[in-house]
Amino acid sequence: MKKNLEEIKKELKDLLVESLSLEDIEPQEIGDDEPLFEEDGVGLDSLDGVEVVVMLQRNYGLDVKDMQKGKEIFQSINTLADYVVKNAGEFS
Amino acid sequence: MIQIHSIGMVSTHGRGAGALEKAMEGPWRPPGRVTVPGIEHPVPAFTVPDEVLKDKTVLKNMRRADRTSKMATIAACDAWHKSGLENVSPDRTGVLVATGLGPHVRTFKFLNGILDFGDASVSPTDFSHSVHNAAAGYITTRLRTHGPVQTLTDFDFAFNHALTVAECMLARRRCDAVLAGAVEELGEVMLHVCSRMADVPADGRPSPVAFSDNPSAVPGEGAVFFALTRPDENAEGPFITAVNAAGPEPDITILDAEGLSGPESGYLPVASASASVANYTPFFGSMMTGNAFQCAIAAMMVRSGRRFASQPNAGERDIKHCGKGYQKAAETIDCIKLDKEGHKRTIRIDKTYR
Repeated sequence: MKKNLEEIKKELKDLLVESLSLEDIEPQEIGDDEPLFEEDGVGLDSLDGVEVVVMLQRNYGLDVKDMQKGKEIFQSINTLADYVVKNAGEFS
Repeated sequence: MIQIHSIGMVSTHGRGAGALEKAMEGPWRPPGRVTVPGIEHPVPAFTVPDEVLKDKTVLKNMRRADRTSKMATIAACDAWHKSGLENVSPDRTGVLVATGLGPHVRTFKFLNGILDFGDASVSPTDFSHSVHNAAAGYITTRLRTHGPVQTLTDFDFAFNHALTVAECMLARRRCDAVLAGAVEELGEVMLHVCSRMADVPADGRPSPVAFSDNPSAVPGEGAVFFALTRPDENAEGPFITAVNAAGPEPDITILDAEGLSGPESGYLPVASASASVANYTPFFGSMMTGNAFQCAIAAMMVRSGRRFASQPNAGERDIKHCGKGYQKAAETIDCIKLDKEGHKRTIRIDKTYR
């Protein structure tokens, strides 16, 4: 069954909190446009970036190999969700 | 000979040796129960409460760490900060971690990642934390020590080996202080193994001094660390005066019959010849490095002059069980452990320098 954009955003937030063992933050507290890798955003670091790559591979079959492209994709939940919608076959 | 300066502990009763001491003062209480996949009924287990592992100061920047690393780091840091040894040079402070199974929960998670998703999609965090030295790495990072670091793994005598190495590090003057301890984590695999292979009593109360060839075990988890130095003969103990050595008759003989090392009838000759026999496994659970907890209790008894009652007190054999009270302060306590082949190892705790 295909998921819509909002469902994918929620799923990504849940996956981020679980996969990265984020403490003191609930999935719903992550803003759709909040920078993921900035101190005044979610505050993820480079190792988290590798985990996000693994997370996309495992859950959506997506392989992000171009690091420059990865920076654009990993900016926020919105950019991540857009990438999933456009590239993962089973989502719309 | 080694001098014990302080003890840090995380057990099913909470944080600190005092939490375990308080539990031993009262009547024995059954452990909690956990659900294990594939096992019909919840099984008793001495788990460390989750809230103990939420210290935002000691565990700062450790969100990726597993329970093994968190328990070890809290116990090691608590021991260090209570020791009065914080002025010892970081270059001359060693860290030794003893464990039976190490971070096996993370190791299985890492392996499951390979099986489920292929080796190209394994988590780098799971990989880096699945190695046995991960906990030691966190301890040294937190305490900023730069001395020798080692993790010793053995199903039976890991803690004994750690103390031997600690004694060598100190005697050879490679280190002026050593943090040595043990950690065990309880996960689904260990619970499953115990449920299938050991005799887990329904009430959660093992009988470690029953000398049974089919011993009971109730799995536990936790960490205990000792801050150690070379002995100061004018200091008050406790001292670890002997590792793997015999000596004069101790006041109390603690048998680390934890139910995981096969038949326990081999303890009977030792017990029969002992002035007072004890085992405290029912207070913290069966662990491959449970003798580290038994040693901590021995040190607490030697230091305070108190005796904690061996639980449960089987009593049906001609064994003198250690009773509760202040009537005769113990000055020498042996902690004895046997492996499956009957090899015996002893750790002697003394009140005074010998």
